[in-house]
Amino acid sequence: MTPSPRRIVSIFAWLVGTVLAIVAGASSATSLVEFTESERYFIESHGPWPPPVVVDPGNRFSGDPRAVELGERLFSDVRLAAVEGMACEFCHRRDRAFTDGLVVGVGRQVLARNTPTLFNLAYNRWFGWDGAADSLWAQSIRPIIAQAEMNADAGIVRRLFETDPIYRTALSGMLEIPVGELGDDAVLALAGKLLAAFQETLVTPRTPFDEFRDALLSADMARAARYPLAAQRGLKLFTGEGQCSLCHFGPSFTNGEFANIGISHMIPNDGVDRGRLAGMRKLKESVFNLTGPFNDDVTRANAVGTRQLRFRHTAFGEFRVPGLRGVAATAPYMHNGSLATLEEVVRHYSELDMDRLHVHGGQILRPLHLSDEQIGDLVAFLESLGATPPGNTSQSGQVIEKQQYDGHAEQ
Amino acid sequence: MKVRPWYVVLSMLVPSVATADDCPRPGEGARQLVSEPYVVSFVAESGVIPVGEHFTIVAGVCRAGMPFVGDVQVSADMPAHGHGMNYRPEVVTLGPGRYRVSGMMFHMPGNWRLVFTLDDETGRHVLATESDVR
Repeated sequence: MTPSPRRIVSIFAWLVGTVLAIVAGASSATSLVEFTESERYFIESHGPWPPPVVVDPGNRFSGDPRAVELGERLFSDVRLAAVEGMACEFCHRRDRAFTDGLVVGVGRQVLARNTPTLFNLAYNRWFGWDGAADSLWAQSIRPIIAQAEMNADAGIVRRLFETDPIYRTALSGMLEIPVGELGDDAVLALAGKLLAAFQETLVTPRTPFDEFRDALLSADMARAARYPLAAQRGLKLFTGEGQCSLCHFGPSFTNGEFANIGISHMIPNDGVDRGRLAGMRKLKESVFNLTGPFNDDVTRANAVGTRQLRFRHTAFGEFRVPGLRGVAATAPYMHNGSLATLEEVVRHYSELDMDRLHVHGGQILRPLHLSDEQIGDLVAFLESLGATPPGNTSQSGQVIEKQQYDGHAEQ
Repeated sequence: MKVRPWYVVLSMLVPSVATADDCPRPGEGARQLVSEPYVVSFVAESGVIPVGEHFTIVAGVCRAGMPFVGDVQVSADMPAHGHGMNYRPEVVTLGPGRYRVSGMMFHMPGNWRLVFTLDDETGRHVLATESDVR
């Protein structure tokens, strides 16, 4: 029997569909980069995300909703600064991933370092580019009293807490003694702890990378294959040949320590930013460090890192290894904001000037001489560490649009 | 995180049955370093050595089968990278030949060398071992 024209069309459509399905299947099967055992180890180490909620034993207000609310209020309160119109959020802007988008920060004066994001601080060990603070609450005090930044003092903070009815009422239910009877350092510690309670809540959401990681570990290859190939290739470089994961280790993509990566430590007026070397001295001298009287952990177990810190001359020019989650939203980069884009960052590593590295750094870092395609792949991977594609803005404000290099604060 | 087997560099790893009975043992799963007549047995207090977190070691140190009398120092470094730890471990004596070493931290994964330095009236004795820590 001769098939009807409709039957022929139907068979043809089936054949086309089958071929397309086979092609699609083959494409899916080849859309996964092969990772070595070592690379898979590092990929696994970069999660899970989000990690469990962390409560800071050194901050009695950590995790207290009342403190979180007061801290957020304080974060935006211009009365906290002795500079008109300035507040924490003046530099840590909510619409810029809690950075300012500038090369270096600007308070009362132009500062020497780039303003870092406030996301994922709850998981840090050290705070500030030089790690001069060993707790988030101690770090939060620093800009309040720094003359070049908010230029306030304990008196200003105490007056704010005593005169504003919201602070006064809330704090009266949280403190054993009135704010007015606290010493100057205790008042500052209180402000720092409230601010820290708020900042601990700032956690970046899950990302395309997290979806890929979890799918890879659970052998869900179809789901893993949704992760763009360029990002996969970049991830392979990041965890393999590039050795980036050695320092950018763990779920936050930082080992929490310090490194010299050959970025200039010179600052204007022939100054030198000694980085971690100076940070260690400031830490030891601070009354607010965890060995001091304002640490709420009576066991002092959380002070082990401060007590047993080793002074190293090699710490000169080292700066804290930043976490990379949401990194596409926090340009410009490095402690001095000297690299405007992620591509510039990758090119910096690709063409490292070994003469500018300390010996120990040179044994980990080496110029990779990446191709343009490889650089693009690494950038694609780094961009995948944000929850939304560059250009989008999340409702929660946790992932902000990709920042363009502003440059107007280049001093 | 898991800890891969420790490999001895400057001394020999031997089964625990080969050591003197009077030598203090820090606990289950302890590793041993032997450089006759010295024996160091050690184990992470939590059972695992994490990457990027502080941890504590408990150790037993003996000389000729008796608890060691002298000074014990502990350090660690990554030979391939040319750097040590960013922290100075604190060694506290718990009893004859028994020590607790706090403030340890391996701040990146990879091959770490753990070094016990023993000082007594006969001089300095170094026992070391390497391990791929992940």
